[in-house]
Amino acid sequence: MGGRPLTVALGIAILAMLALTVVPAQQQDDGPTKQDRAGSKDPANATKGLSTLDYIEIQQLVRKSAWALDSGDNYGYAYADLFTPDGVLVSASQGSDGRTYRGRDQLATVARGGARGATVQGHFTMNHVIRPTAEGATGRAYVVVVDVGVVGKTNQVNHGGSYDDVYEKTGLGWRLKERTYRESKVDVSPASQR
Amino acid sequence: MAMRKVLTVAALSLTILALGTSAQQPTSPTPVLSALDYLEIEQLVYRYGYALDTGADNGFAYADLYAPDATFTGTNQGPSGRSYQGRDRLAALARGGRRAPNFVSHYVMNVVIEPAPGGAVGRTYVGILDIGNGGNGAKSRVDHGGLYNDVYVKTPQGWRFKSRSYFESTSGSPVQPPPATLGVPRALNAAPASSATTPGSGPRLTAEDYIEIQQLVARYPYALDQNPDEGRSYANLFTPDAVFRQPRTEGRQNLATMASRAPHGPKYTRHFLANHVIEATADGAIGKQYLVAVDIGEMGQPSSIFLGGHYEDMYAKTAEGWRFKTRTFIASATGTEAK
Repeated sequence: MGGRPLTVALGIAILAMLALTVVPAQQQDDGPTKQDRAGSKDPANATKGLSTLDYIEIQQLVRKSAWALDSGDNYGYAYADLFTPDGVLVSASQGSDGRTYRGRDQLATVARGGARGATVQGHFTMNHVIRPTAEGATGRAYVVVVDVGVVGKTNQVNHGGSYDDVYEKTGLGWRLKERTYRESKVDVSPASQR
Repeated sequence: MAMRKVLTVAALSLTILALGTSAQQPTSPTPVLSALDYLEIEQLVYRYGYALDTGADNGFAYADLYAPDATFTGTNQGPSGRSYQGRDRLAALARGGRRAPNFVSHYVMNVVIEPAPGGAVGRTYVGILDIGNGGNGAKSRVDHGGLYNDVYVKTPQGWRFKSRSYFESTSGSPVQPPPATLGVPRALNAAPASSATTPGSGPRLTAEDYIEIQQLVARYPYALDQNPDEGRSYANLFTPDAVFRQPRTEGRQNLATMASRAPHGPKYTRHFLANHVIEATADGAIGKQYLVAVDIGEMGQPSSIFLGGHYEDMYAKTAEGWRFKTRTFIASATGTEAK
């Protein structure tokens, strides 16, 4: 009989512990994030497959890639960390067959050297199209690389082209899985329309 | 005695639990933004270019993008920068210089937004272009550019700038003190969509509508510059009865023909769009964007700006999704020559 009160007390404590640990988990699962995403996946609209927040996250990812590339933050690793651990960047305009950067260390080197810094703005990305896929999403964006405020250079358009991206949703958010840069090149150029 | 033991053990257990639980809970809730908050802040940022370049309403269209006590700081003005606070001083900033209803100069992009206590913070690139005046032969060029560092606040009238600081793009020495580093992108926790404040009681667009219209406009340059299918992708961005102006072109077949006559190629990039403002109307939506057409130099040739201006659009929601109902290009014009 002497052990019964102790058992009751421990029982109360365990029940209280369970209650306090379960309630926050339920709030998180049923929270506005889930409702918002589920609500936007309406088969009747053209954004099916991705929620509005997915689009916004992917837009933010691509925009941050310009900031990270120009700033060279964290010795280039701010740029590398926008990719998945096995992420790949292909610069199709480098050399005759292009050049590939794979993995965190190689990607970080892309954002080092040259004109980098917190107040360097060079990569202006626009026209970002996002498409849902079975595995995640793909996207494309135009980029014009501009020399602005680069010591010893006139302000001017340096070069430009487009990115072809594959995005993957990770536990940390959307990341670049693959990015291919292609320099702009015109094939059909009717003289009357120039 | 037994009851005292029960109470002692229970009290001790609950005290330990309470301490553990309070240690796990954050002292203040993590700020969150809804999808509409992100989109409305983006719209505020894009309106900035039009308000500044046009000087509309004697500069007060620009001033009214700010909260009443807000500040703009041009860190490039003078040796230690210059600040403007209050509606009248901000309006004065958007007067003078080259301003006109169709003038375009401030191209804003790479807008990143993060929730913060009291609202949101953000940062954008701005390219400030000197666009030749309405095809008068003046050569367009990149004038200067840099970044805006922003703090946004949600007012009863919608999102507004609480502060905005401009930093000129610089590399080499000396460089200006950099703003704080941006955070690593992360999975977003969204506030309920209903928390977004769209002022007024008129027609509204959902977050999905904004995204779809953004995507429609973003597809436009690919369909025109890369044109993979003799203009069909381009024409299908429009409603069957749509009208494009400059030159006036009506109907999908004519639109496809027009697109096919433009320079194109699978890797070609020429039409760069920025500052996409979208507004709901009773019939659908209207919008506008800045265009700069850039001829990217090939084989070591220099690049040049072909033209600049803005598009004015009407969008219609069809069974296929949002489409252009009308699209009009208006070349940049200041009405006065550059000094």
